[in-house]
Amino acid sequence: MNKKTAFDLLIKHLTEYNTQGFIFHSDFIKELRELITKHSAGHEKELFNIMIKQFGFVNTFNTMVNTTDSNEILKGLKNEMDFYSLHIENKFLNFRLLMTFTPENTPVFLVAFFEKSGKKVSSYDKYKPVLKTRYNQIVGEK
Amino acid sequence: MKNEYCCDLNDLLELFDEKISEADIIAAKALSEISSVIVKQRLDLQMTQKEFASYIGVSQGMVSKWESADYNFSVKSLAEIAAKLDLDLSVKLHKPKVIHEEIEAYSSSTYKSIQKPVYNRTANLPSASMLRFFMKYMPDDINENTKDYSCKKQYLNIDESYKKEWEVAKCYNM
Repeated sequence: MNKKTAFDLLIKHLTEYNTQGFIFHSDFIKELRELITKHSAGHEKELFNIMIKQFGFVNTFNTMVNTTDSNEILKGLKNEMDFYSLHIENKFLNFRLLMTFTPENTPVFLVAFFEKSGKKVSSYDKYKPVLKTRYNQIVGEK
Repeated sequence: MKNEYCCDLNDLLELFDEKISEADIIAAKALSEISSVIVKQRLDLQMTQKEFASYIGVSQGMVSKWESADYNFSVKSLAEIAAKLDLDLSVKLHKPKVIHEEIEAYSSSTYKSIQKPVYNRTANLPSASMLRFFMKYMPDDINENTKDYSCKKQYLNIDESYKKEWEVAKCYNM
């Protein structure tokens, strides 16, 4: 097996019940790249493992993913969609990945940010407009 | 839904390409599968980690480690968990199925239809098609100018007949 095959198998596992695959906003990828560079040097493998575990949870539990780990649901107001905060935590890392699901239940990852060391409760207010904007950029305005 | 803002899992995994090995990827996949099963079992039983720990006779800290994909399971420890949860356990070391399925599909359709033209240097399309097929399963940094053939050989050792066809296709396309 080479690395590409291993990645292919991993993707196949992560999208087992989800034929449309995962979608990531391009700014999410940029933010995650920055988090890797600035805050995870030397801990990339741990970050990778926790992230893959969380993606596995997303695939298995879907909109119930907030019942796993210390993940949270950010309940939308009436007629608004819910967002989810996936916690990427260990003694070296403390990131939040904010995501939601399309009406077809495809996971869409929108924002990644660094949470202060040890902080368990995040304030998401400033991210909510960004989440909505990025979601619309991917899925389109309704 | 595809537009300039959309990226997929390949784009995300590329961020880690330099930092992780094949073994890391395989381990992450296995740990993710195990964690998901354990969490699902616990939630199906409608138990907290503490209750679940008590149910199977370990500490809450241990359940937390299992669920966080931060525990290096031994086969024996997995067997004990499986026994306590009335589950089966299957540990397999095998060739990646995805490649064999693709080869089978390729072999039974496109490959047969292009077998002759691939030796015919005037037929461009079949060779290009085969080239793309092999390129799909090689690291991105390998191309016709790559000097490191170790990955190519490792892959092509799967079947000598494919290797022969690949060499012909490669020469032709170069």
